[in-house]
Order: sequence, then C-alpha cells, then structure tokens
Amino acid sequence: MLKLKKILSAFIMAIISLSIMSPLLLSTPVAMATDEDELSFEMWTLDWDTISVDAGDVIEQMLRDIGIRMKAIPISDEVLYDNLDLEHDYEVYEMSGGYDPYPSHMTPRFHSSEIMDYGANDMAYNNPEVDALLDQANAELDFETRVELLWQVQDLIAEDLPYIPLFTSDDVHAIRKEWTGYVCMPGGIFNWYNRLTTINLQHEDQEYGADFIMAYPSYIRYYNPIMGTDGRSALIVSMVYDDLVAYDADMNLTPWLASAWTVSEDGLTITFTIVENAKWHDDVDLTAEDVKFTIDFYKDQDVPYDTPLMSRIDSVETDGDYTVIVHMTEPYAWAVNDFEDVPIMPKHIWEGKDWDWAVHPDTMPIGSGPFMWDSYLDGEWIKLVVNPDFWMEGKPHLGSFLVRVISESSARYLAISSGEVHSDRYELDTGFIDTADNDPNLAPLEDTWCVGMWDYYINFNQRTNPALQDPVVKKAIAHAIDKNRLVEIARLSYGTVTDTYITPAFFGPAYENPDAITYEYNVFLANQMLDAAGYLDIDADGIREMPVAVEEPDEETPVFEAETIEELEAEIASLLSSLSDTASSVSSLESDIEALNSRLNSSLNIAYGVAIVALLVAIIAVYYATRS
Amino acid sequence: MPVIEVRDLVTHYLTAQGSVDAVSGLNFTVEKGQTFGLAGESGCGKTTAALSIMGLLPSNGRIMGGQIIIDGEDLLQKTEAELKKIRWSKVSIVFQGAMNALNPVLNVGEQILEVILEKEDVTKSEALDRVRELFRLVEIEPSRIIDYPHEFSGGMRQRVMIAMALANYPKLVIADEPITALDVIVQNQILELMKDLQRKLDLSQILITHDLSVIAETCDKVGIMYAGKLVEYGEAGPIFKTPLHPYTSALIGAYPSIVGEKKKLNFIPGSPPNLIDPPRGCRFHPRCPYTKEICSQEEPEYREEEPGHYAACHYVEELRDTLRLGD
Amino acid sequence: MGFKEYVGKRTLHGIVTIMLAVTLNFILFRIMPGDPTRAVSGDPRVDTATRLALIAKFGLDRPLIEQFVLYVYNLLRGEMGISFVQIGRPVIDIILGRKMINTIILMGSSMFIALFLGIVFGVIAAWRRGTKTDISLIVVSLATYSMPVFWFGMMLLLVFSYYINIFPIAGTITPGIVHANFFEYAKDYLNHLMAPMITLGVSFFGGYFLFMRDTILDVFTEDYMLTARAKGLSNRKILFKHAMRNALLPMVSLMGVHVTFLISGATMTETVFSWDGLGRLIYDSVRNNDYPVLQGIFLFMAVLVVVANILADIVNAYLDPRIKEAVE
Ligand SMILES: Nc1ncnc2c1ncn2[C@@H]1O[C@H](COP(=O)(O)OP(=O)(O)O)[C@@H](O)[C@H]1O
Ligand SMILES: [Mg+2]
Repeated sequence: MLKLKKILSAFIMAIISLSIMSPLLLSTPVAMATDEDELSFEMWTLDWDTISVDAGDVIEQMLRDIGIRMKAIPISDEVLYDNLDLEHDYEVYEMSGGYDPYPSHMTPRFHSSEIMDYGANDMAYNNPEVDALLDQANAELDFETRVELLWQVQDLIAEDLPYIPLFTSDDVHAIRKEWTGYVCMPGGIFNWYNRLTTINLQHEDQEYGADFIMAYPSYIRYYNPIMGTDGRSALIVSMVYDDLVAYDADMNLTPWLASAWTVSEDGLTITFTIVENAKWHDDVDLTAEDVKFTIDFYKDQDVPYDTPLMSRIDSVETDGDYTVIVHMTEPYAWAVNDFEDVPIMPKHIWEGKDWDWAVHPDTMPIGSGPFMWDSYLDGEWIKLVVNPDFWMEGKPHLGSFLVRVISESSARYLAISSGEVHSDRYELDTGFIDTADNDPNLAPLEDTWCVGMWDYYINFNQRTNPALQDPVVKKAIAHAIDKNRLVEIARLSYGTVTDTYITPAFFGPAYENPDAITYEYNVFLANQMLDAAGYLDIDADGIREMPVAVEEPDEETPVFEAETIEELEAEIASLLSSLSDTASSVSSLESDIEALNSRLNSSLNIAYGVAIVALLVAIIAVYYATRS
Repeated sequence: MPVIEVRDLVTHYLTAQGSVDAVSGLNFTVEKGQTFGLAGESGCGKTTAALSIMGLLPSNGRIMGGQIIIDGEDLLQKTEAELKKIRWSKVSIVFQGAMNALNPVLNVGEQILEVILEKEDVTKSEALDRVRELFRLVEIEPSRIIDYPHEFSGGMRQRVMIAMALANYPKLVIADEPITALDVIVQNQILELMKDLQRKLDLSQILITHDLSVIAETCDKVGIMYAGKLVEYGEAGPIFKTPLHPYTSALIGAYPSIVGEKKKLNFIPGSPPNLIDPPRGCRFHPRCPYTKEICSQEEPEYREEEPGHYAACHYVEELRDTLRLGD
Repeated sequence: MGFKEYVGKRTLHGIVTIMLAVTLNFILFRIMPGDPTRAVSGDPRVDTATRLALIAKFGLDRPLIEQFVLYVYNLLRGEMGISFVQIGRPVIDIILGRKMINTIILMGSSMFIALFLGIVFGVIAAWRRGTKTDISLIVVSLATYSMPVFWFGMMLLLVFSYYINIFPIAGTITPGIVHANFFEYAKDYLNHLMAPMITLGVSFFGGYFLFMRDTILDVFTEDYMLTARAKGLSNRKILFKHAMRNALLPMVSLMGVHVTFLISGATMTETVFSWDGLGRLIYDSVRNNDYPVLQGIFLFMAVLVVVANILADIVNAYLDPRIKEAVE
C-alpha cells in the first residue's frame, strides 16, 4: 500500500512535468512524405495565432483550384522558430513578420548577409542585385531616390517571388467610449512609437488629470529602457523616456526632444538641437551632455541593441548645453529614424552602470518623458503619474496611467466592458471583434481602426523543394489567392490587403509605386501559367505533377563539330553550362541528403529524449518501489 | 424476574439471492447471576441472535418478530435513541478475540473512559479511577491504560475488552466466541477470569460458542441451535447427561471435554444447510442418523419434555436411551 | 531506529530524489524543441546582431554538457541562474518571493476549505449511504471533480465579477492605492482571494469528498466500528472520533501525493484570475521558454513533493500509533 503510493507519487510527478511539456511534444510535426513529383507542399502556420491558422486553411482551399496541394499545418512557435533559426528545412510557412515604423525589415528579410543561423532571411533568398540595391538604398540620403531604389528591389523580389505578401492584420481596440484624444497611427493607438496617444489621451468630462487604467496580458519584461523592446515594456519606456525624434500620425519624422536637426550634405554629420526646458524626473536639468552620454554609453559598452545605427557612429560632441553633433563613419539613410528607438538616459544615474543593469529593485526608472514612475507591485501593476514639469506645453492630459496585469484575454475584455479597466495594451483578438462591435460601453471600432503592424505573408524556403525555386509556380500561387477573402475570414475584414513588401497604407503614400509588379487574383491565369510550364495533372488525382524532364543529349563524350572560332566558343560555353548543371544537381542532391539527415536527427533527438525521460521515470519508480 | 427474556425471535437477512432465515424462533431466559450458553455449529445464527439483542444488525438484517425483554421492557419497541441509552449500561458485548474490536488509533483507556462519560454523570477523574479499577479487576497493570491496542497481546486485548464490557456495570454481558482464536492456555485463563468476575459481580452472561466443552465448564443453562432454530434448551446438567436431540448428542460427541479423558470423536457428517432455503420438516433430518420419513415432512414441535428441559424432535421418547451418555 | 535517524534517512532519500529531478529538469528542457534565445531577445523585432549577443551572454552557444555542469555547479552554490525573460532577476528571487506566498495562501486556503468540506460531507454521505443526501452529494462532487478548472473559473468571473460585480476581476490587491493600515490591506487581499479560492476549492472538493466517503465506508466495515456502535456512543462520536481518525490516515498520504496536482490546478486558476503566483509564473515561463525559471520552479516542485511526502509520513505517524512505534 505504502509502496504503491510512492510509485504513484513518482509517476504523478513525471506525468505532471510531461503534461506541462506536452504541448511542445505533441506539436512536433510529423514528417509527412510529400511526393517529390507532385506540386504538393507543407505550409506551416503558427498554432496559437488564429489569424495565421485561419488564413492557412483558406489558402489551402484556394490552391486546390489550381491543382496545388498546400497542406496547412499549425505548428507551435517553439518548433517553428527552431526550424527557422537553426534547421532551415521547412518548406513553406505563413505567418506575420511585424513592421517597424520605417521599412527597416527589407534588409534583414532579403539581404543575403542574413542567411545564417538565427538570421532573419529565413528562406535563404539570395540575389546579388537585390543585395546591391539594398546597400545602396541604406546609404542614399535623398528620400525620393531611396524610395525609387526600394521600388526596384520590390520588383526584383516580385519576379523571383520568394515570398507573397498577403495582408496586415489591423489594429482595432477595445477602449471605453468616454476616453478621447487617442491618435490613430499605423500600428495602433497604443504602440511604443505612438507618443501622441499617451500625451493627448483625456476623459471626455475631464480635460486634465483623469486616471487611465490599461490592461496588460503579463508584466513588463524589463525596467531597463535599453532592453525594453518588447511591446509591453516599450510602451512604458516611451512614456517615461524621451527619444530625440518621433513620428506623426502619417509616419513622418517629427521633432521630439530634438526640436530640430540637420544632416550634412555628405551625410557624415548630424546636428541635433535639444529643447531647453527638459528636466529629469528627479529635477536635474536635461542637457546635451546627457544625449552624448547615452550615445557614448551604447558605443563604449558595445550594447547589442540599435547596432545598425551605433556601429555607424564615429563620435559625438556637444556644442553648448543644447546642441549635439553626431559624426558618422559612413552615410546612413535611416540614422535619424533609428534615433526614434534610442531612449535618452540620465547621465547622473547611469554613469558607471552596465548596460544590462536591471534598474529594479535598486531604484525606479528615471527619465524625462511625460510620465513618471510612481509605484508598482512587481508582477501585478505599475502606476505612472503625470510629469508636471514635462517640457511640452499643456501635455500630457492624464493625471495617472495605471497598468494592470490581467492574464486571460476574456477576463481582459470583461474588465474593459465593466469599466474596471479602460483599454488593453493590444488590439482585439479576432474572436472578440463581433462582441466588441455591439458593446455600447466601447468606442465604435471604426474610430480605433488603424492599419496594423503585423504583416502576414507566405514564405517559400529556397533550400528545400525544387518546385519552389520555379517562379512560375510561385506566381501561379500568388494569382490564385484571393486576399480580400483572407482578410474577411481571418480578421473579419479588419485588415488591409498588401501587394508589395513596403505597404503604403502603413509606411505612407510616399512608398506607393503605381507601376509595381503585383499579382491580381486570377485563377484562370494561374492555371494557364502552370499548364504552359508543363505542370500537368498526369495521374488525374487533382494535383499537378512536375514537368517531365526532356532527355538531354549525351554529355559524356562531347564532340567538337565546330568549324569556326565563334562556333567553337559557343560549344565550349554550352559544354561548360552543362557541366555546371551537373555540378548543381549534385550539390542539390547533397543538400537533399543533408535535409533528410537533419530531419532524422531532430526526430531521433525527440525519441532519444523521451527514452531518457522514460528511463529516469523508471529509475525513480524502481527506487521508490524498492525502498521502504 | 429474569435479566433477559427472548421470545420467538425471528431474524432474517435480505440478500439478492433471497431472505436468509438466520434466526427462526429463539426462546430463552437468563436469570440474575446465571450464565446462559448458546451453542451450535458455525453459521447457525448465534451471532445474529446476539446482534439482534444489541440492535446492531447490519443494514440488511431485519427482526421479523418476537420479543426481547429486559427489565420488563421490549427492546424491539424502542427507538434508536432509547436503545443507545440501554446499550452498555444494561447490556454489553465482548466480541470474538481475533477481531480488532478495539480502535487502533485510540489508547485503550480512552476507549473505556469515553463510554463511562457518555453514559454516566461522573467527573473525568472519577471515570479514570474506574478505568484503573476495571484494569485491576481483569488483572492488567493500571498504568497500561495509556497504551494502544497493538501494544497488547491477544489475550490481554480480550481482557481489555472484558474490562470495557464492565465499564458501566451492566446487568448482562454477551460474550460472542470470547476465546476463539486464542491459544489454549490463554483460553483457559480468560474463561477462569470470566467465571471469577461472574461470581464476584453477580453478573448475568450469555456465552456464545461453537465449543460445547466451554459451556459444560461455565454455564447454568444451555441452548442448542441448529440452522437458526433452537433444538434443545434446559439446565446444563441434564442436557449434558441426557440430551434429548440427536444433534445435541452429536455435538457433545464432536468435541473433546476440556477436563477428563478424550471421548469418542464422532464428527457430524455433512454440513449445515443453506439458510436461504432450509430443508423442509426437521432442519437436521438430512444429517440425522435416526431420520425417518416423517422427519423430512413435518416440523417437530418444540416441547417441554421434562420440567425445564425443552427439545424439538419427533422421536424424543424412542431415542432417549440411545442418546444418553454414559459417564 | 530512533526518530531522528528515521527523519535523517527520509531526508537522504529526499535528496536523491531531488538530484534525479535536477537532471530530469535539465534534460527535459534542453531536448524540447524551442529556442530559448527567442525568450532572451524577447520579440522578433530584435535584430540578428542583438540575438547573437544575447545567446553568447547566456552561454547558450556552449555544448550541452558544459551547460549542465555549470547548472549543477551553480545550483550547489545556491544559484539557479537568471531569468531569460526578466533579465537581471535571479530565479531564486522570482520564485521565493511574493509569488510563492501568494500561491501558498491561495492553495492553502482553498485546500483547507476543500478538505474541510470534503471530509465533513464525505463522512455524512458515507453515514447516510444510499439516501438522497448521499446521492445528491455524489452528483455534485462528481460534477465539480470533472469540471475543467479553467471553465469554472471563467464562469465565476463572468457571474461574480462582471454581472454581479462583487469580486474584483484580477490581481491580488487593488492596484495603485495605498492602504491605510494592515487590516485594510488584508481585507482587500481577501476580497481578491475569494473567487480564485472558491474555484480551486470547488475543484478540489470533489476528489476529497469521494475519497473520504470511500475510506469511511471501508472503515465502517471494521470491527471497532461495531464496538463503537455497541457502546451506544453518539453518532457524532462514532463518526468523527472513531471513523474519521482512521479514515484520515489514507487521506494524509493522498495529500502528500496530491501536491503536484494542486500546482497544475493552481496554474489554471491563477491564470484566469491573474493571481500573481507560481502557477501563473509557470504559464508565462512555458510560453516564453524561460528555462532558468522553469527549472527553478520544477526543482521547487520536486522539493515540495518530497517535503510533502515526508510531512505526510510524519503526520501519519502522529495519527497512527502503530507507525509511530515502528518508527521509534
Ligand atoms: N449480513 C449478512 N447478510 C446475509 N447473510 C448473513 C449476514 N450475516 C450472516 N449471514 C448468514 O446468516 C447465518 C447466520 O450467521 P451468524 O449469525 O454469523 O452465525 P454464527 O454466529 O452462528 O456463526 C449464516 O448462514 C450467515 O451466512
Ligand atoms: Mg458467530
């Protein structure tokens, strides 16, 4: 009896551990044998993201119309990101990337320098022309020229099509109707770069001094402003700290702590003029010295954040109390934009500290922004109060800003609807949109609707299935997807269809290229393209087969039949090309084997792990059973 | 006035297979200071009779008829609350020695103490004194009242049970197989103790056993049960000398006397009947060596054959000499 | 063998178990798919250079065996590492702080209520076996036993926090206010505790009730129960003195085993009610692959299970003189 209890307790412990792990275990993808000869692919979607999953299912259906099997498989993010970061052997995925306020995503996603472990160019897209154009754009100071360069990049990518943009999931917020003054900006009314909402937010009956309560799904990650880049921490960082520049509602750069700036003709010198009435929350004056300190701090300690900017800064000097001169090592087009993400930190507090100083619990964060830390309970809530000495006249309107952690999304919604909190840090989940639409306590959703920062797209791994390297197949897929329908189903129409990689609706009309290469919804055309390229459904199972390879002439004993030098040259060239073909097919075979191996490895790993766990459980059980 | 008078007691158990007629017509009286022995093979309904008297039948047990009169009052007419008061203060019971009739997680003193305090209006220290006194009475060191049941041997535990049975000075103690499962030496000691106490305290007892030799030693009156029925009843002397029922005679023969030389060991062939569907006529007839046709058809009358000596057999007269035991 | 030796031996066994748990912990988390550096970097917005720097900072690029040795070495020095997610915060601080107290209060109070009601009603149901009381209690307890904690919590939230609005919707304390004195604070805390406590209490109740009823029914067949009845004791004494004391023995053993279940129940409840305890920490950490914190919690759980089992044995020894004697 007692023995039984012991064994039981050992097993139960193991089971509990396993059950907590089980979502990870279960979501391990089952290696599916895709027929190499068919247009049949696995498309991973992100299991917890209903938008990704729903859109994936719809895409699978749509592609059936053109004889392509695109099996949508929801995968846990652990497995998915592991593959993207290290294994690199997925075929296709469909999920969202996430935009910054300027199109900074282009270089990481498409530049070949990011083809590496943990790199952002997951699909291993490699086009030297694109690389060169991106490098050129990043150094181009003239905005118009830069945009044109980016248009060229887009067209090149649209031709190779490693990636099909679908739509942005837009930001609609549940916010109680008595609140006004929030500013709709691409990315949502509450976003870390949306400084306008937090300084303008007010109660309809109380222009100044109202207390606002916001729900967070979990506590902030960092008190440290440098590291607080995740959505929850970043909003608070943006309220407590100032950056030199900010964005307006149309995503144009506007002055913030820097009332003005100039960039020298050669792009190597940037001069910022700092506002003169800024003060730290502990009443110390904020001067150019603090700005210089911040930049030096990043550089001296090799802070691993904002590296594209910091690595290109040579030195900083001050000129009087309110002028900062930044010397660049090379012209960098997005330098001023990047300063939007650098919180200016007080020298008298941070001097001598490490960049990853936790701040809490030594002290409360001290900045110069519109709100100051008042009190907090670690893990539960944070109370910010208005900074009475904020340098901007008449701002902010609120008296205090309280952040409350409410873990569960339904509970968060109920809390807003009942008035216990006033809004949520994040946009409404699709599942709540209908309810919120009919909730008389909330502001009409139309009023809070902003283009979202989450851009959904299909990504084709260039390493795996050879069919995915044929642009015709990808173009046909692009033609066969009705993006409007996707938005309707996956986001109940609160989304914006995207046709290019720099969505003008998000980044501003300046990026709109009327002549961009796009693929309109046209199933007939898609089918025609595939037919023409020889992808035919030979076995009539509804899925097209790969084109039958035309027998190459015998290459082993090349015979020179040339009579003129020109002909000889042409023959040599053709011989060379056939050799390189062979070489590439060998290398592709190698990569196939490699992929197979790594897949085997990963499944072995899991089996191995389960075996070890089982063994340990058995040891514990036997141990318990044999004693007492 | 007798201490207890049981008249025509009928007790059944309801089971899925049918009603088990565990006791069907039991009559006896016990006078003050007397010991009554109730004997019979295992399964004949002795314990059922005891539990009927105590009102402790399991939930499927039903008393179908009869009277149990103590102090002129019929227990069967009492409510459960009234019965609770009567239990232990008027009649207590000692269970079979092998049972763990003592609660393992309470010390023995506490188990005796609680019933004294429950029944009587005494202070705790008075009650404690009595517990010690009782321990002396059953010849256990009084300091052991704080010990737990598992710290006692089987015989000692039975002594504790006896002490507990005497806690409220009841008039009547029922002892259901009190020495079964104890070893022989201890058996004798316990029997001696019981006889001793009975004399000292002028107790009345019902001694239930399957072992007739025990009854021969201790009892004034004897009742012999077979298959739920009383087949013979009377003073111990006459029954042991001149049994009137073949079953009694067989039983006496089946057990060696405690004293004296071993007698012939005539095991009774066959086994007791199934009480769901007992044999027609005389319930003993399938096993009776003297059985005649009438035995399987007509139930013999339970009659007073001699003054104070009752039996239920068709052939009492004819067998009288056959059954007489030479001494 | 003396009682001290016994405790010593039990502790030794406990340490062996905990060592095994440590290994299990480490391996479990490392072989699982999932890249901890996602947690380290926090969000996909962080650029590649930043991610690589953080991976190196946390030693995640080193061989597994080296990481394990380091882990054990640090553990022996009483260090459980630093959270990947809340960078700079030692795991020990995160676990052995307010969160642990919150969880202990929530679990303790709900367990106490569930145990108390489970035992009392279990005894009553067993006593009234087969009656309407018994059957309706069984139905109720089976319902609470099989009810998903998460769902029940959600319903409570909807009814009592949203429609009737008598319980707060989240947290352990009203945020942002300063309490006048300790009693105000305690009152506020209790007010927040109610809903999660009821949820957990109700979800535990069914199991305890059914177990208690069963054990009591077993105990009823024991001979000493017949003795107790023969003695004409009051029903209350028969049930709560004679039957319950004996039925508590297996119950206490069950409790020792049950601790881990409590933790998983607490994870659900704490998430629904945003109760800032270890359960919610597990939820958050699993979602973020925060290995150091998870390892810390699992170690804590292992210790808890071992301690709970030792405690259960000691309590049993106290309740049951037979075990106590065997021990001494
Ligand atoms: N709870 C019960 N349900 C059904 N039958 C029972 C029950 N208890 C005893 N019996 C039956 O009643 C008969 C008499 O049993 P009992 O009084 O214990 O006999 P004894 O004490 O003489 O050995 C036996 O046949 C036994 O099987
Ligand atoms: Mg019996």
